[in-house]
Amino acid sequence: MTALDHGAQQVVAPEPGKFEIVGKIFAGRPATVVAAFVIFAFILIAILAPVIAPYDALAQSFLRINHGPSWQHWLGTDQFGRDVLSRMIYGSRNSMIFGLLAPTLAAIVGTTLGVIAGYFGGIADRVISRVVDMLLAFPELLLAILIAAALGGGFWNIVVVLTVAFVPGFARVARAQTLSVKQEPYVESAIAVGVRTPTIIFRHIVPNIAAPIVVLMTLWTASAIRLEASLSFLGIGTQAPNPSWGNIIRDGLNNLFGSPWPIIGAGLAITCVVLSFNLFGDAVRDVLDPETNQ
Amino acid sequence: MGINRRTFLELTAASTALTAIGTSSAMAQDTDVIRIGIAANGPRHSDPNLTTQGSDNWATEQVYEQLVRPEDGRFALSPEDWVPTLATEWSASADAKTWTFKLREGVQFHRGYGEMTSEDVVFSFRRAIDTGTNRTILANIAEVTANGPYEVTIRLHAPDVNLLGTSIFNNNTSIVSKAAFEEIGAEAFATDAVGTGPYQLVSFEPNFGMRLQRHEDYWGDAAIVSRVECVYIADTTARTLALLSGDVDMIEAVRAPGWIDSMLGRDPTLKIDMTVPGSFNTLHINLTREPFNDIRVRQAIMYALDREAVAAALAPMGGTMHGLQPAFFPAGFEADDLPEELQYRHNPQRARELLAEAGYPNGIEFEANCSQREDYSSTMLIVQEQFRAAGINMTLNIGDHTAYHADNRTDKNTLAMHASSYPPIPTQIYFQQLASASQVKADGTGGGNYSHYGIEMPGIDDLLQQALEATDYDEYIRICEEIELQVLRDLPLIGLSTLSFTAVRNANVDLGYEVQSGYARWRFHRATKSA
Repeated sequence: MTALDHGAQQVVAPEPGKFEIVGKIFAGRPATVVAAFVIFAFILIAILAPVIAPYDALAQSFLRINHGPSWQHWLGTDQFGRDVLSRMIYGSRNSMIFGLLAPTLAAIVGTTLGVIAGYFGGIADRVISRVVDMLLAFPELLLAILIAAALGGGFWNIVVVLTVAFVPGFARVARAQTLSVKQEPYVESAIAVGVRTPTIIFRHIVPNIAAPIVVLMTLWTASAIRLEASLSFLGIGTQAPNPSWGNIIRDGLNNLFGSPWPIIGAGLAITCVVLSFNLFGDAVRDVLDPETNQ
Repeated sequence: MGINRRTFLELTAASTALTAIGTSSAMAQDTDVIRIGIAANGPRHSDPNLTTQGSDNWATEQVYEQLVRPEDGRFALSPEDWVPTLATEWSASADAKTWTFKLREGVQFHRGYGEMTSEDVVFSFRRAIDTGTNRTILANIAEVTANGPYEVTIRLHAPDVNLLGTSIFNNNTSIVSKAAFEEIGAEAFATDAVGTGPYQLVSFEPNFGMRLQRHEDYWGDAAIVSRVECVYIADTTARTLALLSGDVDMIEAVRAPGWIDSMLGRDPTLKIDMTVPGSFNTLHINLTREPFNDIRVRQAIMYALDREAVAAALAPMGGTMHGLQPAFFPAGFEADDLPEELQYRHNPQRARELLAEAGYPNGIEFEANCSQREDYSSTMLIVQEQFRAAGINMTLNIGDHTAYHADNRTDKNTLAMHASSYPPIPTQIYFQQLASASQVKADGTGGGNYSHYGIEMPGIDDLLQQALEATDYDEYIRICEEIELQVLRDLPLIGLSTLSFTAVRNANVDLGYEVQSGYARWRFHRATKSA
């Protein structure tokens, strides 16, 4: 047994420590640092929304319809006299929750399916792969609209919509990685010595395919935020009167001449957050992805 | 002149929108055409007997006429207000069941289809009664007969002192050419109907709209501007920009809070035309759903509502109703003329108390569907916020306008807003929205009584029958007032607000008359346009 252990150590490169990875992500990348700071700031805003929002995001006042920016209302008011800044602050909650929750759920479901398909092969692989191929044939937004139209709005429905839209990508990556990891000598050794299948999957497969999944998750957080905004803009995402950046833009478009500030504010917020997540995701990929990590 | 960020943003949006609708700004300079931007995706019918999309009536209003009409820009508030149109004289029997109309001689149909005679009138009425979109109301007509070429007699099943308003000045009973119908065929006639109005239809283009041209053989004063174009631009921003750029002369307004002010802020010379009262916005409380079967909950809803604030938010288009009619309509009440307990002045505290009495000390929660059209969604968002202050939490499912109405028609809503335009004939709203005969049914075969009033609890059917059979106008009004009071006691249906139909035009177009009331369209035959 000692000989075997010794052999395995020779095959597997020493694991870099967690702090080392984080250090690599930020080292020499000022843009990534800024991006991470923006993400952190928006997460903080989302968490502290009730504390920092100057007004109730839903409270209407018809004495102050379509006011421009002022000291009382930094981004003015909309056609119902609601404070635009407060709506944007509360709207960030939706964007963040969907942005973080949907890729995470999709990663869990997609990875499970991908690993099952890749590890067991046969009929399970054929069924899962064909379904995934079918779903991949649709662009994510189209798929999301399709499901949203069938399920209707509401928090959990949007989570389901976004998750389903992202599952195929995770499943495909997980399957491909599993297929390659499965061929590694340490997995074959484990099978040879009779280690139970669940143990092989959780101890030997999943940790070794985690890097590309994490990269995918970071990159798709931005997509999820964008997708939620698109759905809300189309009226099938977050439902009024609850604010989300997407429906703030949608309402603002109908009231463009009343006040352009909702569109400007929410548009900038989406741009900043999506850009930040993309920059951050790129950096994570550069560090974790063996293809680019040279 | 510098360009600031706001201007830049708007110009960008403007150029995008204009590219999207594919118009060119050279259009506006022509002073011999009036272009109106209409709030719908495309025309569906030009036959007045088939129009279900209200916007199509901007064209039908110019092309077709009835035996009698009110003055341009008005409703007939009393029987004397009717103006002879294709009929020159009329009379009713003492029991209001037999009506005789003497027809105008020498009226020519469009495109050379000859003179209008009693044969065309009988044909047009027959067609409306048998195949039109308004058969319920016209079902009271038993028979239409010609007495020679220039006289027709209409016999009714039941008396109708308001026949001119209910059945004669009606889109469906516009007079069309029998010869043209037979020659063109029913199918093509749906988009190519031949009438007698001041303009005739030149083309019906599903992707553009309808083009009309002056009817040179018109019996009255010929139209001043020779062409009218109804351009369909559903997108509110694109439509607004089309007006501001001068691509169209006039547009159907966006009926949302603050819109008029923002338009006038942009161009103070714009002219706003609006009908008062316009549409009657009502709220149907579904009596088959818990907890709305409890009168205290319905009263709480009424106290939670600030109907004046709803009207004020939509100023200057919004108006109030204290019952189901505006105060200046027959059977309408001023708040002070109502008994104290039926005034329901805004009182969220009272609403909470009533809910507590009904067993809901922590308030109630429910879901309601709402259309995404701006007049519906903005009104219901205001209502939602007022409710919240009284512990009534309403979750709104805002969706497609057509789907919304389909859901209402199949009894899927709890608190259904309905916007409809009515002439000053009170029984029309009672009949359509309160009579047990109009009860909504889950299979969609029912009517517009979404509250199930008259089925779930005793309704106003007997009073309505008395009103409809009244042969004296004053008696008719007295019974209608009784109905108003009973509805305020039972609260199956709330008169939430009125909302003017509004169009905005550039200052170089003069309609030639003032728009005061009437349906959601007005005629252009007296309009002039300067450079």
